[in-house]
Amino acid sequence: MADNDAVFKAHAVQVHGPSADEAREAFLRLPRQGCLAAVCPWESRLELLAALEESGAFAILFSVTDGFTAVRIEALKGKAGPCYDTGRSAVYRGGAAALDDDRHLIVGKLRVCEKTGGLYTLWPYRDVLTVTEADPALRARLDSDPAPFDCNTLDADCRRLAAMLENVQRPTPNVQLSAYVYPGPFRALVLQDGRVVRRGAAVLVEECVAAQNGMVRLPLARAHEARPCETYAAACRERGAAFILEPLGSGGARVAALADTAAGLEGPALDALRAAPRDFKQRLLQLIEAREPYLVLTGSDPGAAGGCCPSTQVGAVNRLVRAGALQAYAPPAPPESCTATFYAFPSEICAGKKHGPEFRLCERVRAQAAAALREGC
Amino acid sequence: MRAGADGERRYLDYAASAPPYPEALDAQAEAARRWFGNPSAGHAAGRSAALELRRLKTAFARALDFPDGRVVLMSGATEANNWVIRSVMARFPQGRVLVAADVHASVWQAARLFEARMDVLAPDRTGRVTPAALADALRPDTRLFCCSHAVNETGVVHDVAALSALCARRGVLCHADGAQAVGHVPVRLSELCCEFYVFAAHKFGGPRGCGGVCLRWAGGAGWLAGGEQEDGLRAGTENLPGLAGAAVALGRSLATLPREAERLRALACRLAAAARGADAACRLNGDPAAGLPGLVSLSFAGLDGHALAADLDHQGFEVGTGSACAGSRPAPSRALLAAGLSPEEALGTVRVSMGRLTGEIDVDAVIAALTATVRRHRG
Repeated sequence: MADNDAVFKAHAVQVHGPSADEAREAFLRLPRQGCLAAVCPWESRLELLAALEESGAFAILFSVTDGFTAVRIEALKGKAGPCYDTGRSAVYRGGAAALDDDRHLIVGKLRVCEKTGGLYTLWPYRDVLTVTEADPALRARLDSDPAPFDCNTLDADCRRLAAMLENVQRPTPNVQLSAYVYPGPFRALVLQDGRVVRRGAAVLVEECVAAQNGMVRLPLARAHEARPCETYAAACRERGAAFILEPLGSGGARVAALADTAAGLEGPALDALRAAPRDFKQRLLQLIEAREPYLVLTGSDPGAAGGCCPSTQVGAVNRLVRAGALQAYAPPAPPESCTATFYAFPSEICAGKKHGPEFRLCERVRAQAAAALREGC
Repeated sequence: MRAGADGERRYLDYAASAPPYPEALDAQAEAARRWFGNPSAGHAAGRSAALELRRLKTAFARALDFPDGRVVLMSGATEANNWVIRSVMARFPQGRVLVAADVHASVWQAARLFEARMDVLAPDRTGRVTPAALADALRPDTRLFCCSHAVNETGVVHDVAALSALCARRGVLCHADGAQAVGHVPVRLSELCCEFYVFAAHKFGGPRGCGGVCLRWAGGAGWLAGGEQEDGLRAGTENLPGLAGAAVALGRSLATLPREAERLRALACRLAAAARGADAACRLNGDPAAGLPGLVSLSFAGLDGHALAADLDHQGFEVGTGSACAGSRPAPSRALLAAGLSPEEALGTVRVSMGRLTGEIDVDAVIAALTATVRRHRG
């Protein structure tokens, strides 16, 4: 098992603050087997998770850092390959079922091919799956006449699960629900009572359920992002079995973040403005006083691997963006090109009617920002 | 050259180059007009070209079920095959390359640059490279295995899934030349463990000058001096219009693939049966019922394949004699010798490869012409 881990860990790449496209590109640049770690703001997690899922990553798992302002997403590459039978099976040790990143819905015991069996022995799955060893005779055939294996059982497994969950008792309404997020490594879990929890989505569940499924509790400031779980049987009836494969939406989280800042700058944002480098404070004050809508910086964040023309100023400004003190707009361009980024205060960058964004001045936010910037200036 | 008896010339050399889809050429021209900006330039025209290039690459990759790697554009499969072998051999100066004996000349000649570190794996009597033979041939210091997905001379389709999976288990990089396969047989790269899968657009009805490698390897470097295009792997402004045409051609090919494969295999079987019925010494290379759709390789021991092809050409039938790239050489085909043919048989080989514009009437005509020509050459 450790040897298997080492193959993936030998090609580990880390990127900081990537856009979804940058994360995707970094993942595609990995060799056939490898591991990508991407550190991004909490608000960007769904977009990055969706990009990595789409790029063929598996065992995607994230951890929360910096008091829930950032997440570190780890994704493995290496699920390409044919499916051959070596008699292996996997059992999910959690709730009713788990959906992995390769269209396997593990309901009870699932027969898996040699490739999937091998992937399931890797470290992200080790605590949640039990995998049987390969049959020696079938394994020996891999080098001569491998036995094909039909992994395409998702539809049948979805229907079986729906039938199993049709009459399951729903949770009692008076139980206290709290806000949690499921960090992976599965794409989605189906709890014993039929509720569906998707990786990365903030949901309301009971504390004991969260503990059983390795979920992470959201802090009070983020609790409002959580939504009730949908139920498997109902969703299956309405949208068909494929609903479980629906990609994660990212619009909700981003809109929420913008809505929060539109109301004015909050503590962390104001603290970040106060702590900004002196020359940059002057630049922002000049922007406010001259009623300029935005400033443009070229170069990349020195913390982002592979970016061209690293700039300490971009690094400093991006810290303000992460703290919610500024908003950024990068015109669409491939990740390897030299980037020019537009910066404005939160809620000042809006979708334009033609090409690119439109800018509007938000007096209240600018007044708050100016006060914070003048402190110690 | 004059036309055939019915006044038409018949192109039957699709394996060398397929007639382009008109829509592919339209897409190429439209892209050349619209996305003229250099994708490396930072201005709006350059940025929009770069975005279009990426969109096209994503679409192309999706058509090959290749979500998890990069599409690196090159001038064609020959350059791509050379790039793969030179890159890997440079990365592993002590490593060996194992090459299937029936590969295209671009793979073979590139590997021969490292002759002292080159091993050869012969196919079996049916023309197949088997996992068992590969398992035996891999040495502890083998770093790269090269094979064709579909063999250009015999039409044999190798089980690249099994071969690449075996390479992966042994820690050997796998390079599959898919130039003949893409657009003609199902290619799902998510089911192959290849680090390198090479394609050429003109083989599936796309424009010439556009090919490349589907890449899952991080160890390569560019060997053309110049810009940092393709992540530094291939200098030179990317052929965006070519890729636009290739993407359309691939889409068209895949849309009709199941139906066309069945139709072309039936035509190929008919031609093969007629040829063998007409000449007792005719040997059929590969299996037209299961191989590359529409490809029939026939060896007429004692005859000169080039003379047969020239005669057929004179009658309006454009056929190949094996590898088009080796078409002017009198030497017997390496791939045919590897498949167990005698030099005499190999030299008497003609290859008829059909495609989307080939109909029953063409097959009837070529059967009549081929059988008559063989009879005449036998004296």
